[in-house]
Amino acid sequence: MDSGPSQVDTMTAGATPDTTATAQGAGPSPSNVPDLLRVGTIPDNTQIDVETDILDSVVFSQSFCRFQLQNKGILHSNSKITLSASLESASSTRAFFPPNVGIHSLIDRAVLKVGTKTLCEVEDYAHFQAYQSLFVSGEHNKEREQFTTARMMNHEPFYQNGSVVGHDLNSSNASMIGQSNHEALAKGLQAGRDLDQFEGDSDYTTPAQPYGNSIVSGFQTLGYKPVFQVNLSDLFPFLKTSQLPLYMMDEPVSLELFWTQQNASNRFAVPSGGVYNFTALIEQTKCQMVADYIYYPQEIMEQYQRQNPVLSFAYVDYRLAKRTIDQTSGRNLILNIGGAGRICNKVFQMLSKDSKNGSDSIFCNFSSVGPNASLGLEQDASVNGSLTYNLRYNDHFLFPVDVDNSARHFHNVVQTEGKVPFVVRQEYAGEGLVLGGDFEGRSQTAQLTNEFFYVANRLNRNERVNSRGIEAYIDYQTLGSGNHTLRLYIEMVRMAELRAGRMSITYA
Amino acid sequence: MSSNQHLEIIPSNITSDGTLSFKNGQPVIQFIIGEQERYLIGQSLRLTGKLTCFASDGAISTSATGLRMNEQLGVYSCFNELHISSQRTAQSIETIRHYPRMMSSYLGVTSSLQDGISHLNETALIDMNYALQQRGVVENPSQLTTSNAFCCPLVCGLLNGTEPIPLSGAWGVGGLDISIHLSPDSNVFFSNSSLTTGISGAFYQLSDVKLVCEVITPAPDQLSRIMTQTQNVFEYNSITSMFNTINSRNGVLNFPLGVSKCMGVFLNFVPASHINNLAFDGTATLPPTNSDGTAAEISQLIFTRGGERFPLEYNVDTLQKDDSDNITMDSQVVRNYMNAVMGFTKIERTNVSPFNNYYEDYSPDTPADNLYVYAKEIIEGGAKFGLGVNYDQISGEGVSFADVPFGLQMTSDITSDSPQGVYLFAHCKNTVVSSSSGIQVIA
Repeated sequence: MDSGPSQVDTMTAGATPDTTATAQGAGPSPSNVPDLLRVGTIPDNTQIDVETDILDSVVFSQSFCRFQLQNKGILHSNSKITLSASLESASSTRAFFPPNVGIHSLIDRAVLKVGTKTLCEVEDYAHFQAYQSLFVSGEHNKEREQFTTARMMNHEPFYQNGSVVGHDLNSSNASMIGQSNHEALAKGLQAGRDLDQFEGDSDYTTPAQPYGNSIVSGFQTLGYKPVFQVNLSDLFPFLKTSQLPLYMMDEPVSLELFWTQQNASNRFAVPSGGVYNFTALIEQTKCQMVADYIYYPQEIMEQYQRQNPVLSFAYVDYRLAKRTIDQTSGRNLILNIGGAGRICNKVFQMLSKDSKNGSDSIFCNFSSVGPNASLGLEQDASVNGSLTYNLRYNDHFLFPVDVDNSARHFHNVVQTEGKVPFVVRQEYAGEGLVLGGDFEGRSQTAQLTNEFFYVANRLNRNERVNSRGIEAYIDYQTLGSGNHTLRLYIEMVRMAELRAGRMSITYA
Repeated sequence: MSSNQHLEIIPSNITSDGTLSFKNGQPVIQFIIGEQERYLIGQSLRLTGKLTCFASDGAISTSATGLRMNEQLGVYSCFNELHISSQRTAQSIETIRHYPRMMSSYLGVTSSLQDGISHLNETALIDMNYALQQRGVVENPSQLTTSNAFCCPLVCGLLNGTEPIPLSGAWGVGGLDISIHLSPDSNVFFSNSSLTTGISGAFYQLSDVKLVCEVITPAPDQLSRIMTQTQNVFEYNSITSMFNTINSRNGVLNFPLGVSKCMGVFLNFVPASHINNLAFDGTATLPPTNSDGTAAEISQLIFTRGGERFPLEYNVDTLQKDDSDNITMDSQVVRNYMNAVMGFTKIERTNVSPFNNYYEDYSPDTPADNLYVYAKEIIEGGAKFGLGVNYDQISGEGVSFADVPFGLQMTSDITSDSPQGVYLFAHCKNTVVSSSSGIQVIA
């Protein structure tokens, strides 16, 4: 059975290009010097030094900040940026970062520049990260991420409370009183603290509602000015497989972060009944970059540089196509999303409801609503609440027949990324009504249902997209009312070439 | 450069209304992936469709009805047998009988609580608590109009392999004929109590069933190179399944596996009276029990090959040999079982735990007809009991059982007339040699 990494829903990784640096030009013939930029184990006993600098931003405002890296060593991809936010108001209003994206909600756009050239840029970064965060497992969120990034999407069954009449299947059985029952009629978010099943209740007999309320820890609320961190390779995904040889670059390398708009009410969320009449300020003194520079013995680094006078590597970058749609325009939509003349690996899309923000949603605006699972809107009830989807490029459709099965949409996400989203069925497609309990006083059923309907597809034909670009055929058959923003990201292959300390960037 | 394409295959025996159900006389779903000059990416293959669970004709179960299906299997409990053969020659490549029971062991060992509660919930209608699965799938009130969408992999050795499967008639298996035999309704559904009132007509129905997969079209130069070959050799894993019963303190199993490269063997159990019985979960993987529901603890295991102890050259004496009241599952037994399903060190996520793998007394409590009800209410996906042994963790070549039988001697506390159904699954490595004259499967 153990034929490879055969968890049920794993597959071979997608067609992400090999970003191994390759040497060109008339350098000396390759020796046994290891490839220093390749993430992974170096088959050598080479001694490595890591130097850590704490960098303050060179420019900072409540809308933007810039960090300037020193051109030394090799930049470690897991270098961090620490972030913190506080409430402008002196009131004691409770506020917290969206549990699905955490501190990433503060960032609207991330740009990595070499000199004046943009090496990598992610627009609507918090939305982008909401998609990437699907693949972080519940255990990981509960045990690590909620302390490092404030992401806490961990699901657990909510067992009935044996001490409460009506919860216990056999409530007349006195021996069951006080014991944990084995029956879970609902599941939902569990941020690591026990459900407060007795909230607002003094005699422990009638909890406020059936499954209790899950709340975030005090240190995670904005009133405590918590400091969280963002990984560089989260901001710029190509760094997961490559590292930047800063010591070989003559141009300044800078990192720019554009913050989520203050007045968009999307930097954080408030509990039920919370008042959203203040803004969150990003703390300048705590906004720092923890830059790790890797050093190998000097002779190896020099030899590597001599050996690679022209260093080129392929990497992936993302392009965003956005469009506002509503119930009517979401039907039978054919949208050209770009990619003309490019090598594109994948397309993923999300649809956020414009009216949502932190005052009424624990995810602020950073979720992807699916077609409503309501009944009776479609003549063909068997496809009620579905999205019919296909992609067309180079005069051929990606799928022979448009995809409308929600579980297959989910499967396509798995195929695209080579990993599984840790999303409950009701959260994805609104099917199987089993979410329960509250999160910060808000009904999890209302907050989570149909809020994680991401669609992703891998362009698997190994073709360069022709001049017509990629067309998305989208038909949301039962979209909710109001305006929605449809975001489609295309993953494209780009090439960077470092020649004599100067970086040039082209599309592959 | 080679390129990939998506295929979408409709059952070749689809009915006029597009629905399939065991009850209505469509016990087999057949898909044909035609002979073509391409490779199939086995890991990309999914069975997709919609599942509707009926308590009776046109009626969905409610909480008062008490209709259940195995929470850890979800839609997999509907597939009784998976048969894959060559389309061109009809030669069998892999057959897994008792598929839900194989999946019970596989899913229990290789997926975690978080897997079951999230992505397996979406793709295979699995959940990690019986009440959640019952409420979210079986009693899903919108089934009559929307059904339960699923898109699940057909887990088996051939399709789980990392090597693409050559579909060519000249240099491959000559297309694939994939047949799924559906399970009887009475082995998919069961009552949440020991009473079957109101569920005797329960049945399931599949609709919009398709097989989706990706294929690789080789580049022209690569294809012309391949086509010059006179034969092609393709290695794959397979699962061989067998069934037997034991009904004594000294249970002896003897299976002629007939395979030359056996990587491991795992077994799971259920009281034989539970199979196809609406009062009990026929897909549960319970430890052996007596007829009154009391635990029949295993005190000793001996694995043999051709009458000799192998590969463990000693008796596995469990905790229960010294203390029959100990409900804790013996750690060596659990480790060997998990190791047989997937190499123990490769298991990154699992759901086998002391919460769902222990001895329990399922005898009637109150009221008196509660026999085995607690067995249906085990948390975290239900019971995860099994036995097994891994034969090869190093070479990947396995051990030959071509001429010698596999044996298991199990000393347990079965002291009543309580036949235990034993399902054995052997993980083997096979080879297909294909040429223009046909294929040869070497097990």
